[in-house]
Amino acid sequence: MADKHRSMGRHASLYRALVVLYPRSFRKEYGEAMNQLFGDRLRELGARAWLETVADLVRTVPHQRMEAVMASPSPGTRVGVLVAFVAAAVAASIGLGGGVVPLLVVIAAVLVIVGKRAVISAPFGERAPLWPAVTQAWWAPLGALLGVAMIVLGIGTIFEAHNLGGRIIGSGLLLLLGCTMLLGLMRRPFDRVAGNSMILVATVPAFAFFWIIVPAGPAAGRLGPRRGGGGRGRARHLRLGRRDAGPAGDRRCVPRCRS
Amino acid sequence: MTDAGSFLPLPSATLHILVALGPGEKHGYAIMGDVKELSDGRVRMGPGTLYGSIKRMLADGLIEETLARPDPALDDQRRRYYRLTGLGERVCAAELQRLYALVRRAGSPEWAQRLVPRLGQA
Repeated sequence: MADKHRSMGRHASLYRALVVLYPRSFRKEYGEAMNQLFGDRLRELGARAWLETVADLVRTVPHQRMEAVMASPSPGTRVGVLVAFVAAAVAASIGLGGGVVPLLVVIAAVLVIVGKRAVISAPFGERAPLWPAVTQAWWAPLGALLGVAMIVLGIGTIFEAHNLGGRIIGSGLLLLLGCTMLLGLMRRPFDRVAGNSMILVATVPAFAFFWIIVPAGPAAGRLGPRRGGGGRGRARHLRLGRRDAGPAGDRRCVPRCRS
Repeated sequence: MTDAGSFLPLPSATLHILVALGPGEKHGYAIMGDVKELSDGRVRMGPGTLYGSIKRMLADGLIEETLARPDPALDDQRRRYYRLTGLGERVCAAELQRLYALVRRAGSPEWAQRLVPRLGQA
């Protein structure tokens, strides 16, 4: 009997620890009731209570987390979360040399988090004509220019990529971001949160592309995971050592290559 | 007055909880048991699903928490009890009516009666 009580106590403690995975506000309101409910199930079913409880945790923890993010107190917080996600994706893709996959995964996650209202439905909602959209704020012309540049570059590089994947990911992403930027500018006068979200989703990767990948050249700009790591420094070193460098470049390169 | 039709169609968990609360106020564990019984064991709610639904339903005004507590000798005083609001009753009735109409229409064609004989009697 004592063993049974000890065992139930362990199960209950484990569940109490797992309830921590829920957002604080939800836990504060319903944590105690959930612990009590699990205790009741434990008395009724024993360890079999875990069968449905684990599935329940897997299904509801992400859902509640998502709801907690969406219920943030202000649109600014929501946009802040969005920027953090995209910035993290760009850092993972470019800074750490992780390739384009993390970027795409995080952009997809952002689209899901921001959801129907902010991004997916935004292009279909009411939109301002081009001129008011471009003149609505001092930075709007710059945004429009960036959007047009991305679209032009996207179209221009379609036939440069050597494979279909490169065309879809490289040029397609540029076209998508360019269109997102322009649609965001047109949407903003009617729905500030949706418009700002779209503009930010397009701006961060665009800046990363124009300021980091393009100046670093094709070696660093190659889409996909880099072999051997090293990022920008390695790309510059390879260019200096093998192609463009003069005698000074060779002198700098040789000892490192030998070592 | 909020339009009950604007809540339709209801998610399965919400409808089951509303129906379970129909007879009167209940706590979480009783709701869970009733939902299992109402659905012949097909709908099983864990604590996260149940309280996630309860949270949304409280926010929508479909249910409310009651302050009345049963005799301490009969039940745990820490349990939280919930009951339907007027809006909850209207929404539940509207959803059941919608489903009933659907069953009646689906039961009319011959192919439906052949597949599910009991539909014709609905």
